[in-house]
Amino acid sequence: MTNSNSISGRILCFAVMAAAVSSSVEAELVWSSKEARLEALAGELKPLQATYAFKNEGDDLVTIIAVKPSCGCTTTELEKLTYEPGESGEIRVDFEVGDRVGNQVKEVVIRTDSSRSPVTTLTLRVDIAKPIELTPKLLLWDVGEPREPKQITLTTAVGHRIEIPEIVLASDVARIHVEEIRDEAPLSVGQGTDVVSSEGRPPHELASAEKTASGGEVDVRLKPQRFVFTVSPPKDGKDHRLLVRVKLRPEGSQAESKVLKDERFLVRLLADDVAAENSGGG
Amino acid sequence: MNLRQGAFEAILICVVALAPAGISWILKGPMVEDHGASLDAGEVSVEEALSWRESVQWIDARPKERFAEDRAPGAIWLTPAAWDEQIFEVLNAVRPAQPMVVYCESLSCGTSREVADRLRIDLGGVVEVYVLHGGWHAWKRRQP
Repeated sequence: MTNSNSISGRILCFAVMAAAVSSSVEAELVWSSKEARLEALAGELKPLQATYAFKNEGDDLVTIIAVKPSCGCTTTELEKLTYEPGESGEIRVDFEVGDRVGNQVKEVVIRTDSSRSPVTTLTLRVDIAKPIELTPKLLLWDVGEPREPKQITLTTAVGHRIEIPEIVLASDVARIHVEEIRDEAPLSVGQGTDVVSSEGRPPHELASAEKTASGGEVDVRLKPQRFVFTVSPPKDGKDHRLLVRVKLRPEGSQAESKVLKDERFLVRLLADDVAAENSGGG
Repeated sequence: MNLRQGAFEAILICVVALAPAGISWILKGPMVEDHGASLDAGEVSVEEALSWRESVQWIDARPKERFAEDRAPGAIWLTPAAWDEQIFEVLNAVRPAQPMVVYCESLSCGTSREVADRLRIDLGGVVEVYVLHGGWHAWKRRQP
């Protein structure tokens, strides 16, 4: 009986100690928030910045001994490594957007010499919107596949109105027809524009045409745009690779300096077979 | 008696100490690499991918320095950070009926899934795109 009381007492003591330790796990470096959320546009050149503030709420000095980001896209900056009791600090995390898109979740692991809170994981969530999306980026005609036209779509996000001043092709073997689509119906003006070669083509003014045709009923500037590129391939049965560059600029801008980053797609046709190629000459 | 009591207490302390680890194991699963027992949607095991032999286009989604050190035969480097520069090398390499298999470092990295998702969009369904279950670590383990 005495023994069992003694053991029960020790278990109780152990539990109390464990509870005390667990409740003070973050009693030294206390973070105002371990998570930050940012928004960005794809292709932004300037790094995004998030700061995480903390305070040493313990009774001893705390030294940060390691800061390890989970991704090469993040760099960190810390004013100093050792913090007095009661002293506050912050760590800055810079995030390189690069060509990333969508929801990104990155972590930074902080290690300190504190026995009670040696490891803290900071989380950075970045939502990267792509204002202009061209999909797919490949049109492929396989061996023996009928060389019928195929389509690629370019869409813009709300608030990103564009014009297409030029489409540049490496050769004139393919024919590309561009049409802006509104509300799932073809644009009511014009017939779109055909491009058959790379040089000397007139600029496309499809967005302007739509603006003229809108009649003031709908503020088209609030709506996303959708352009459909219909590519009619050559029917010579030969192998072709054709890189297509779609030049873009903000709607209403005529200045060359306002040209946006080109969108590109690849047109590939695989030769039907050697016999077919040879029979063309015979 | 004291010996028995001490042993009992030691066992008790071990049980108490291991309890949180046990709960964590039950909730999160083992921390070791998964050897391909369960594949998520869009994944392929290293055994199956290797059985396709040369009819696989490997896509390496690891950092460039890791790609430079070693890579699967014929692999093309493609990461989200350098997408626009690299994607056309991939598009040029596409062969119908040749699946693409994307790998990053290990089971825990998410880059291969991100790259595979973007590839499926950019390729428009021309070829199948898979994520290699277990990543580069799994691939290396299967090499002689």
